[in-house]
Amino acid sequence: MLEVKNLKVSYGHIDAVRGISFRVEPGEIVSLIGSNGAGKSTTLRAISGLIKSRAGNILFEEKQVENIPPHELVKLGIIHVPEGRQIFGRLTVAENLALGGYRVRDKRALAKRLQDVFELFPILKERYRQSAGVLSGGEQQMLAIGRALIAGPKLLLLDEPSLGLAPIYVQRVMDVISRLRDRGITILLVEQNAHEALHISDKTWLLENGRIVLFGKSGELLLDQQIRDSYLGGGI
Amino acid sequence: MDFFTGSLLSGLQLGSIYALIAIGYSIVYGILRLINFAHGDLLMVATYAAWILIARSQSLAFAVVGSVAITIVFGLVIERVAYRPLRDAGEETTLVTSLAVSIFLQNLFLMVFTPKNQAFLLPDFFSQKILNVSITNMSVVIFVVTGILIAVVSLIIKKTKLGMAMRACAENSGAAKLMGINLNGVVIFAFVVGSALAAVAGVLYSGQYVSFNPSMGFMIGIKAFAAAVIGGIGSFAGAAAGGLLLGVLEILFACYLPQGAGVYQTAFVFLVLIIVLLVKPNGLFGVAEERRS
Repeated sequence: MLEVKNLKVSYGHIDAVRGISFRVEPGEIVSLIGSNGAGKSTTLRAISGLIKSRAGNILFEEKQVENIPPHELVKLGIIHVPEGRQIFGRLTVAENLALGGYRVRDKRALAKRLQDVFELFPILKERYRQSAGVLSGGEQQMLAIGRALIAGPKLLLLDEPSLGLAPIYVQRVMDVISRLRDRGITILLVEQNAHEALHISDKTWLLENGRIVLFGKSGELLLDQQIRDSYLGGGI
Repeated sequence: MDFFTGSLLSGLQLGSIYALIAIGYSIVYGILRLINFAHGDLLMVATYAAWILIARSQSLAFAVVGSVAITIVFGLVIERVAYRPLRDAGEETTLVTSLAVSIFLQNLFLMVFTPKNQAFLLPDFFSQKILNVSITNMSVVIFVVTGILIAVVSLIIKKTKLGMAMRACAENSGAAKLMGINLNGVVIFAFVVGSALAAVAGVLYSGQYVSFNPSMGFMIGIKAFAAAVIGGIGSFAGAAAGGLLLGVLEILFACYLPQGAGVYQTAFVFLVLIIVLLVKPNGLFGVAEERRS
């Protein structure tokens, strides 16, 4: 579904991503893990077109997409839930969800997806007319994911969905992610929380300083000594 | 009508024109963080366009529509040629660029039309007084047109899909792109609305105050910009309120300052701007926001 080949991204003179390659197959949850500054978010931003890559290719459903602007990628089904949620706080919950469907012409599909989102996150129905800025952090994350689902994603890019959330919300977000996979949405997950990412995903790529240093089936990496020592605090 | 009410009405009249211009400053700033100093000069462009079209066609309605269309074209060309290539440059760069565009427009019109003051004459109907008081038919036209335009633009921003996209871009243009919103489309729309409002403001201003020349837009533009800042730049309601407030203050200062000080009305107006910003740094209706990287 998604193939990234030798991707390089720089901010000015700083090389954030130094030639990484990975694949995401349809129906999988793939996670990119690594510490702060490893290049995970930059990789997602390059895939969704928010920043230009310096070199390399990004293929989505066998088509080159690295030069397509972000608003056109949305139409293809690549939906990015950015780091820090980035909901529109001055707009209502209803307007945020409507913006998720900005490029969707089919009114019926929109109505159905809205019902699905309400089913998944009943709180959004309760707060539908409220300004999104008053939602709690966890609720805002639900809104950010709900907004992405309205767009009808084929590939969902999730950037640190658990960051800054209370443990109960982290669990709920992870549950939602696996339910989305069950519905056939392919997910590329970026997480600093390696523990959660490894538990929920099928495959994991580990990034350090803009390079891939390790990859494999998530279940196997959970048992890997290097991962356990460096990323899981050794204590599980 | 007593002197105070008369002054207040002429203040609101001038303020309505400032409001129309200030709204254009504010919506463009809201989306691009661009202070477009050339915005004021669009009202000069609109005045010349209307002046020529009236002379050629003898039809006021045609001249107004034509002037709005020509001004929109100017606004869009400026955006495309001067601002879009600098989209990722800093606010300082685009600010200086907009000053350059402003000076360019003024000099272009100075070359073509000379610095001579021209008279923008409307049919006598407009200068007729109503009920023997100091307001004229032109004043009524200014109030009605401004009221309708503010209501229409406000409805577009609040109720339409494009308006919602504008608000989303103003809050977070990166996230708006991820919703599938084409930022360029929204920017073009903002320039169309802003230029059209500036064009109408230009025709109203010149229709009311008659005399015009290629430099007229600069000072009016600066005052409208000040109005947008007083109201809270980026805020639609703030721009409208700031414009009215500024117009009223300017006329009241002119009328009530002691002999000799009246000529410093503009200085007093900007003194008020400074005081407002000292008390409320984000303007009367502005929202505090962290600077984006």
